[in-house]
Amino acid sequence: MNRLTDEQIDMVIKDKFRQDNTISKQADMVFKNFNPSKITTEKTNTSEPRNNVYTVKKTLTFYQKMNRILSVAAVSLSVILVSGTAIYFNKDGKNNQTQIITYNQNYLVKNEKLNVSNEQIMKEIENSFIKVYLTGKKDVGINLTSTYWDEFEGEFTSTDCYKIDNIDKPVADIFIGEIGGRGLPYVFLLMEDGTIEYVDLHCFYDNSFYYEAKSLEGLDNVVGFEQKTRKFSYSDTDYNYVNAIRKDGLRKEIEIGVLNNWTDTVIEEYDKQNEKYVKAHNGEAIPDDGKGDFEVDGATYIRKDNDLYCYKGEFMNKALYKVDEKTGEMECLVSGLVAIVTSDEERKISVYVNDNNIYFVFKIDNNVSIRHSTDNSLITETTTETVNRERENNKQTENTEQTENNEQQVSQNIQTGSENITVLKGNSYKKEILVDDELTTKEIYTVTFDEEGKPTIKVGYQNQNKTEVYFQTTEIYNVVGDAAAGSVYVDFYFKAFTPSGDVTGSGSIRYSNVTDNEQIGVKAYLNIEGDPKDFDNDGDYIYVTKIDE
Amino acid sequence: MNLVEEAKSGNSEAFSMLIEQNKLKMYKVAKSILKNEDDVSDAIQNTLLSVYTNITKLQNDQYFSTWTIRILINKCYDIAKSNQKRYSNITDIDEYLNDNGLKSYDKYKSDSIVENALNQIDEDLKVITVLYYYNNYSVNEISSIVGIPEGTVKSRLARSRSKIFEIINREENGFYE
Repeated sequence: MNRLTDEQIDMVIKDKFRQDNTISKQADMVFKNFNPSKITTEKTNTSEPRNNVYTVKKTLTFYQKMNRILSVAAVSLSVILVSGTAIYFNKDGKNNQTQIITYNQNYLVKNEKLNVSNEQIMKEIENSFIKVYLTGKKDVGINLTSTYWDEFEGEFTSTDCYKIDNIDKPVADIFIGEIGGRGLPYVFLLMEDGTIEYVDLHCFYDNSFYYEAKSLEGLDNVVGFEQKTRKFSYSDTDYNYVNAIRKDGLRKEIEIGVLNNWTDTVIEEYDKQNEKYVKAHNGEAIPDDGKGDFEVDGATYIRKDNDLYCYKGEFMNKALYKVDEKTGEMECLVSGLVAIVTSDEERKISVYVNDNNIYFVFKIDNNVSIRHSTDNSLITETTTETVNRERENNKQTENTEQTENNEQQVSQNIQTGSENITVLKGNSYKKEILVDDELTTKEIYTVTFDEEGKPTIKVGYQNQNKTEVYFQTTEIYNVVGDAAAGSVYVDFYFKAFTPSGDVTGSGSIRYSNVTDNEQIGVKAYLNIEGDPKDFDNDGDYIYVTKIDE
Repeated sequence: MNLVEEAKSGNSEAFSMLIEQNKLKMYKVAKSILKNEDDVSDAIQNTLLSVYTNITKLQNDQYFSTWTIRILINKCYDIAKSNQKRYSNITDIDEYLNDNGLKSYDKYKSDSIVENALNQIDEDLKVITVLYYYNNYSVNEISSIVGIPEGTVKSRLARSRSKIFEIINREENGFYE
């Protein structure tokens, strides 16, 4: 057997994790019993603040702490502090009430205090969380701000400045840098010998603070730092990172906890991408360096057949543009596309260009489809659902034959396979079924767009004459759309009952020029595969409607 | 209005529905950090209150889930560190408990392959593993939630991947080579 790739291994692991969907009864009760209307507050006596501590007023909830270990002295019904840690009691013995208790929490600071007013301040910098002072060759002080404590629900009460330990070499400069999306800073020290030391402030989890300088291995000839930001989807904050700057201008993104290396060229490449983007908008020709796709500021640029395209947009709503390389102008080719998930972690859309056509490969849950970029018509589609999915009817293969009474047996086949993206080549055909030439109950979908332009669908139905054929939408599993374009796509599973037997499958509809609260009719299009000569492939469709129950 | 908007406007039922949607994810993340069910319950409780009282500060409603998980992780670490401090002066915890007629914490054990696998990897890998494999967050989402560089997330995932796969393989007697 061939060795599995990382992607394949990930799929195996994810499948295992998905199967483990239990939650303990105790935790489940916490969720069930959380009732904001039952929250009460209570203030307690607090201890006196001590020297070299941060005293922070904190709040904590207390609920069902039945099994918590009690200290020997814990007989009182109030909050007490034991070795700097609070232990709580359920005051009235009832476990169905949430209590909020406020108390003073002392955090021991192991550093020496620094009285900034008595020092000559060579440099002072700050951000919302901290202030840092350079007061001597090897003297750097740090002061936490109220915002720092607010982040962790503490009310700020301390203003003390503390000296950073373990600075053994002269410091040339100080810098506050944010890494990640949380905004919690590091303090970077540029040493006179061109190396970097840093102070990790992620010590608020501890009951004590200790500020010490640690060496950042691997970078030398550093002359400065710069704070950078990059945007990415699926997050409410930008991703912040810090570059170290070398004498010759080379930048390197600083990584904490690993050996850094000037020869990693991620930042350089990013700057080149930015340069391409700028050139495109400034009207300069973009050199084709043969690297293919590149991403800038949330937009992905692709070069195909001497043309430059760009697609961008947030989750569930992307648009494709053709970029004029001379003017930088973008012409929208198609918008309101479905968001994508591919097998790699970057979530890139796959784009294929062939003979002036642009096709997009989508993977939604476990369905893979290719659609044409201009009219979004479905080229081919496959599902990669596994046997564990609880939809018995979607896994059956039924073969039917056309009868003289115009009853048809419909052949459907939904492919299953591994969860790598594989596109099955083949043709989809659709067949119309009319029963008694009369329409039965029609399902009506009402489309509503929210203020972000995202559509939601409600299903209703309209009664008409009864027939022996009816259809029922079992689940709408995907709805995407673009309010601006007035387009909406609905993917759904349905069950259809014909005189010859049950038919189930997935269907999809696309509507354009839909306005808010408009009612739209539904036709079920059943994608089927069979012997091509049995079906007419020039656009027939299956039309089954719902019986009046 | 969507659920988050309704919850922001004070609709308790909407808030409950939001939490219900994220319940399993929250539990798995908390369990990956805190083994003890009491601590997990405390962390969840503290998180629910924090989310409820601060929900109006959430700027982009669609990121409710990642925001909640981030708060939960903070709460879990608070408790984990608090536990370390508390036990530092007790040399024989079982003896202490017995002497005082107190119930001991349950020993961690599980019939779940996943939980056993998580129990055998390094602490710094656990929460990232759960966020990636269970909650299906991407590398950059995880970086945002946990507050570490993307490169660090990737390298930790690589370590976790091989270890977890080896354990699953072993438990299932050659499921895959």
